[in-house]
Amino acid sequence: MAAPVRQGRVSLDVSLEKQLSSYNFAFTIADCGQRDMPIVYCSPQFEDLTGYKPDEVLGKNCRFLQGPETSRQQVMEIRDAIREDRSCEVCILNYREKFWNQFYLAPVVGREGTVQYYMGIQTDVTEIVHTARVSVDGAIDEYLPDAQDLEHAGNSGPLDGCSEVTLTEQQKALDLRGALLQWSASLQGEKRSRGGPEDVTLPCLPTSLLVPLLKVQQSFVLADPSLPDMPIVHASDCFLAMTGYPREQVVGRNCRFLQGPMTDLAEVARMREALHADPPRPVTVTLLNYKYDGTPFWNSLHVAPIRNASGTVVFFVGVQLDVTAETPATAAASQLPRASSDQLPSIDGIQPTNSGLDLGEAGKSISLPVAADLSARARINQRSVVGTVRMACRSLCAHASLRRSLEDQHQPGTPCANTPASGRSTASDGYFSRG
Amino acid sequence: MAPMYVSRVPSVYSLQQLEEDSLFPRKGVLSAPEKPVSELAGSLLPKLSFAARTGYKSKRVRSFGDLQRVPDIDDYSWPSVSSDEESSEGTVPSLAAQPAEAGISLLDMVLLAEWEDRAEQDLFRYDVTACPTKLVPGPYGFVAQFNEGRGSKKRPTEFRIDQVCQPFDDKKFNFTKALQKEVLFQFEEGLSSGKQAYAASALVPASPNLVFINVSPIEYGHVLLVPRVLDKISQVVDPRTLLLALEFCHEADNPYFRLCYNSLGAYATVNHLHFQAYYLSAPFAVERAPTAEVMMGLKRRRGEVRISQLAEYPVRGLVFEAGSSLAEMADVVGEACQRLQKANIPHNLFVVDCGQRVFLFPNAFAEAKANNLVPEDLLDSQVDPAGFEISGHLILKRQQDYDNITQDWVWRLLSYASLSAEGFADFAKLALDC
Repeated sequence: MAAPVRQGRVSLDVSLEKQLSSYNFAFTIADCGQRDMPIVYCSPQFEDLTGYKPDEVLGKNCRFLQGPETSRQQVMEIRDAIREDRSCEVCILNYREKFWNQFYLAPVVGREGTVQYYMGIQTDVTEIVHTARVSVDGAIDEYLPDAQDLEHAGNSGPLDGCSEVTLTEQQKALDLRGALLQWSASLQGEKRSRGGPEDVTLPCLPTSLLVPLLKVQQSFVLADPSLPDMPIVHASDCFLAMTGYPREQVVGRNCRFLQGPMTDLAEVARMREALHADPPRPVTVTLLNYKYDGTPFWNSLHVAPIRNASGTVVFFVGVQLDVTAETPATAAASQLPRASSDQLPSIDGIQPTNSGLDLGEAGKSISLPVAADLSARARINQRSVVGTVRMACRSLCAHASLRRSLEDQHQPGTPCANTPASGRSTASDGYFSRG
Repeated sequence: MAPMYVSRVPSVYSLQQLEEDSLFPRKGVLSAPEKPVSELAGSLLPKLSFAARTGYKSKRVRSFGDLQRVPDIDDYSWPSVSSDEESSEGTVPSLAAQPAEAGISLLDMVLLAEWEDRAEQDLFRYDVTACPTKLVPGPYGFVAQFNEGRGSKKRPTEFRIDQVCQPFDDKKFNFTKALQKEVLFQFEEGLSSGKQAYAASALVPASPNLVFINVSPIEYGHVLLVPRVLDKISQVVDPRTLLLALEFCHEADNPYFRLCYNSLGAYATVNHLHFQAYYLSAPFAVERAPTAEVMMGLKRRRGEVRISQLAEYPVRGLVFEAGSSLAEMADVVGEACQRLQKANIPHNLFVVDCGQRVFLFPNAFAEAKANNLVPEDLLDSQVDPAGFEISGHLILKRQQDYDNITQDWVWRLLSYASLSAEGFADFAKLALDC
């Protein structure tokens, strides 16, 4: 669970589902470790409330509940809460059939200190809102002929009935959190007893950084220059698919494991020079790399330094493009010999060095006679990954990132003000405390 | 209010034609990077086309159409953005059907990639990601940035600022004088195909909508959208140009991408119609501010556009929320701006939530400054509150201001941009034509 990215659609396990089904109220559980935070569980009462069946809902982000008249401000409030790893409470107009939802969102923080799940608890408060609407506006509201026109009722502060609902929902969240944490802990135990890799020491990115990174559906890795031998701290699913390496053989290692007998050391040196310059420069190289099974491929690799909010370089992002198909026939990777496993840098055989991108012994190397001519599409793909990562990391900073401190994390004048911030501060996390 | 119909921005060349014409290279190229934009004729520039929305007009009947998430789960297909095949036309397949919160929109991809490319070419005056930024402690979460380079290196303001409407002056700096390499892409409405598309290289129409880099960026991805650049429109917004700006936000489909318009007198520094936009991965303080119903006597709705006002924020302003039509939003807000232009009231627009929420601020800071009402300690910071500053992003030129910034200080500074309660009431009546 330390590398919180899970591949494919993962649902909760049977025993947990059984336990969760004993709670008789409407709720959903969403998984932060998967792209776009999909729902992994919804209760039968959620079906009754919204009219959605589990197979329509599972694997989807919760935003399908929003519709044309949903207040953008309330949506922002939920988004903001997720960004700040905290709970929030909003009264929001939701759909399939329009209903006012007193929605309580609460994070479940795992052992590594990052949020692993969000619980969403829904209560239909349409009647309370309707009643309040009539008493607020009475007959004087000539501009609201539409009886369904409710949007400001939820916007002008807490309604009495809703505050009570909130308290109930907070209690429900506490119960659920207990069940989830227990389950999460039992998974860890199981892994250990099966002799799985003890991976709790692997680097673990904060959830608020992971969420934007998971949106990028291209091959890239992040390496941390502050750690010895600049290990990879995040690898995208596309990287694993492209290279064939399992995640646990990637995270925590220096990227040079892709190099092999015929990798051109001059290109590697060029890359190293750019990254060690002051300030470091972005660089694009074309390298003959090797997949997990030893298959060679031409990798157009773009590497760029990424700064945090303090302006300090905290990562190097490496974006890989397999350009084997676009290389001239004389350098076709398919003509080149595969590397045998003993020719590739093995996990145990690596001698960590501080030089970051050193390659050890290599046989005769090969360079591409003509640099692969990247298509516009490929170039945009590659550069846009860098931009996306920059944007995400730009909001990390020295003490608490561009997130408010715990005591400031509620919106003035809303019911959130009374909500305990249950997400613990991630200020202790390495990427926030540097700079 | 009579519905106002917005005509489409004309596209001279069919995208279809361009895609099929093998004469055009597939690589993203600027054919004349060193030439000024005024000599665009015959040049090739990348082009991003957004979906033409047929029947996209003010509607009486609600349609769960283009704009907002339809509460029907079947719409959530999960197309893969990273399909490796490039279509034979050299365009990126449409991503229009994709909820971008799941992935990254085509506009985001192109904008970020081209911006990164210009950064590698060293076209910016400084690396904005090396400028420290932080949150100002407090519930509103104002964002502060320390940026020494921006003030001294910026193109100078060369015109009087006490008139909201001034004629376009060819002799002063305008975007036709910028170099073509500062252009990232054309932003045009597509034809009837109804899909978003990117052409790496396309001939420019007579007067294209261009997206420029801001060489003095205040955040990553800072760009300028200049509608119909060769028409040389002065810095006044109307429903049609505002619609283009809203479409731009809509296509970005990224809640952290916001757009702003400053009128003359409200710290616009170039009298050539432009909108500014950039990415900031945090909410702006104004997005967190509570809103309240507009004062008695004012309509809370125009068609489907909901109107409210900011409560508990240092600068008074109106808040517009779109229904199902951006065009209707552009009409309501654009016409409000036109009334302010007539009345010579400096104003700022701040667009969030992918074009669906717009803040309109009357800006009285320059006037307060001219009347010596702004205290010395605030003036010393040299912060002139334009749209982004008012909305919660403060760029500070002096280290001590950055180090010592507090929410109270920001509040005090911004409050000088605000109208009084009475003044705001008059403003709202005028802007909303009541």
